Amino acid sequence: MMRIVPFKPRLDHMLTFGLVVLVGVSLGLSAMIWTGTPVRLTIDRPGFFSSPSYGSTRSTNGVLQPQAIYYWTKENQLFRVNNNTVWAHQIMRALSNATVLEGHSYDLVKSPYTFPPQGAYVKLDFGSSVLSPSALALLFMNSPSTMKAAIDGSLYLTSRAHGTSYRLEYRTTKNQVYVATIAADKTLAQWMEKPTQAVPYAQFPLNKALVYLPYSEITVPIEDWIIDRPVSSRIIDSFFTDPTIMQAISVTAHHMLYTDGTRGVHVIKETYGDAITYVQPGGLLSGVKQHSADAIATSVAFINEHGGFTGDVSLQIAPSSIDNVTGLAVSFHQIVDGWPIYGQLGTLHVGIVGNTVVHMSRPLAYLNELLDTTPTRILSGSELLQKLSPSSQKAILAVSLGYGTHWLGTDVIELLPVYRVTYSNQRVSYLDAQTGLPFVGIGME
Amino acid sequence: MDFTKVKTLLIAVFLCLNVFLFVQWRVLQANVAVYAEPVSDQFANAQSALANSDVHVQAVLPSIVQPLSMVEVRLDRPSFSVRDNVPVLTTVNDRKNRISVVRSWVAKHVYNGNAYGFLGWTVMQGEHIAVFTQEVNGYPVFSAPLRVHLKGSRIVGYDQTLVNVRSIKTARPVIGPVSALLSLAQYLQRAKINVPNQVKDVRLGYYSAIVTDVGFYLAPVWRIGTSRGVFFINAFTGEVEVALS
Repeated sequence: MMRIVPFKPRLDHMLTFGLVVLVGVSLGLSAMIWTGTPVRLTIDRPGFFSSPSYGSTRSTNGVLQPQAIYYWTKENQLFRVNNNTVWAHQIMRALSNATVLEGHSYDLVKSPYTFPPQGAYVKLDFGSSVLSPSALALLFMNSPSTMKAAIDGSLYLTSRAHGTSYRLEYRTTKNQVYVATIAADKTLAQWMEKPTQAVPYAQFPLNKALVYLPYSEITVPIEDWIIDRPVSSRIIDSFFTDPTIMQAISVTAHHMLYTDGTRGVHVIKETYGDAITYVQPGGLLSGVKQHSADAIATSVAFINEHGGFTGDVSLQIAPSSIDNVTGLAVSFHQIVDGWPIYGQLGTLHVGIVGNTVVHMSRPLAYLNELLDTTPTRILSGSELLQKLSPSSQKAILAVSLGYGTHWLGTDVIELLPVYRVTYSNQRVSYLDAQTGLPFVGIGME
Repeated sequence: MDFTKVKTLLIAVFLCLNVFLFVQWRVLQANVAVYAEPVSDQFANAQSALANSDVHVQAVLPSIVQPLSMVEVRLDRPSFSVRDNVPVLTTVNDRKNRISVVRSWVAKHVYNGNAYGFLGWTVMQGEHIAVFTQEVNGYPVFSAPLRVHLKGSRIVGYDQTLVNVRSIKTARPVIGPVSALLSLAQYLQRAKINVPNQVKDVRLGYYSAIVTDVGFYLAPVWRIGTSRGVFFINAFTGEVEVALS
């Protein structure tokens, strides 16, 4: 005989079972949603270098400034004006609002224009930089694409007799003269007059070069600076996309290499503090051309992201970059009171290949506080040249005045005026500007 | 208390909750699917991104990628060349089996020749060059090549670089070949490089151009061979390096 099971207890069991299943399903769905939801990740990079107190960021146009500006009067007098004066700033500002019209290249000898120009002119001196058309375009509001590259970083501006037009002249990489008209507003005319804060200079025609040197003894201050030495570990991480894979190699007691296999940062202990060299070895694809304007922008952006710029700087594009095959070498020289600091402590080098920074070297130490200043009389150009032998004079390519660095110990660096002499075999020597004797400073061997 | 009613009520509540959770889960699946593209779609995207820089992919991509490590190595001895003084001159007459003849010659006459695997052929200044690379953990070390030079059908010399493994770091996941191609596309776009080019070969291995006498670290890289040069893509970070010619 079949046993009759009451319906209610059966329903109870079914409800219990159903409830358990439903609770299980809801827990399962909750877990799936929990684990399947994408999570916003914040990657913490301890020690990432971002201290604004170390360096400051710069714009591309801000660093493409002449190292000095020369003014040649109608009376055949020459003056040098520092690049940090109001006059120099106003000239550059007026040019940034000017338009360069289509120009022409002429043979140096057959040119209808004398070169360098006669009469009053302003010479913008970008060191010995090679200025490509794209780099020149950064100086003006508008410029024709047909402009030629300037070989020695010297641009000459002359006023036309009437109107608001000016003539731009420079020597090209093909040893021709490029002449173009500049259309500018009246502010340029206002600043094309003789500046008030200027140092009398003289032209010295030598066997291989026309050099510009002080006309008479001038006063240049000797400056003592306290340097700051940031800890290198703070900046090393910033060079790596993922610092957790970075490995350290002790090359010597004074040389550490940090690498992720693709990039490397060498930290070398110098007397004045750590110097770092970043490398990302890389070649250039065949058929790819480089543009110096892009190189300047790339290098400035790279420095901005890796410690920034300390103090006033001026830019120099290496003459060897002319062939565009091995990449572009861009240097930044620190300027103090209008004079460049020579040697390792004042120089920052960037190498660019295929619009990628493949090399950067810089000292981490920087001039932080002016401790003392002593005005000093230095040799005039003629006195300096008298101290050089005739054979040396024949081989001179360029002479310029700036600061050499002398280590006073502890944390103090002395900046001493020196003449930098470049010879035709690319040898560079430094001479004490007070005595004319050889000078060896930090990284100036 | 009537537990039957309570259970019925709870069943209704959990039914509604489960429907809600199911809808949420489906929405989530749909959203995640946007990020988790099929490999074929990712490859199509990479091809399209490369095509913007006039680069076309004509290579077969490896499908399986395993975690790899940084490898600390030291040069076994300075890289050296043997020319005009090859131990045993060999004539490679059989053009069809040329590589097997060269391979057995390498195994027999080159120091540690068995450590090398064949990478490919190149032609330089009229010479055919069989390029081998040392292998570590089954992967080629592009920093340690062996180049065997053939003039006509004769082996006339070789250049060799050999490394010794000192330590292997912890393995980490590496990016896939499609991600490597995407990194390359981004690099070309950023560097404003727009010249006609073809990707001929994509393979995973080890490489570093940062070398010191006291040792160096090899990173896992994707080697992308193109008609205009070779790119190395760091398989951890996706950073692109154009090989030094």
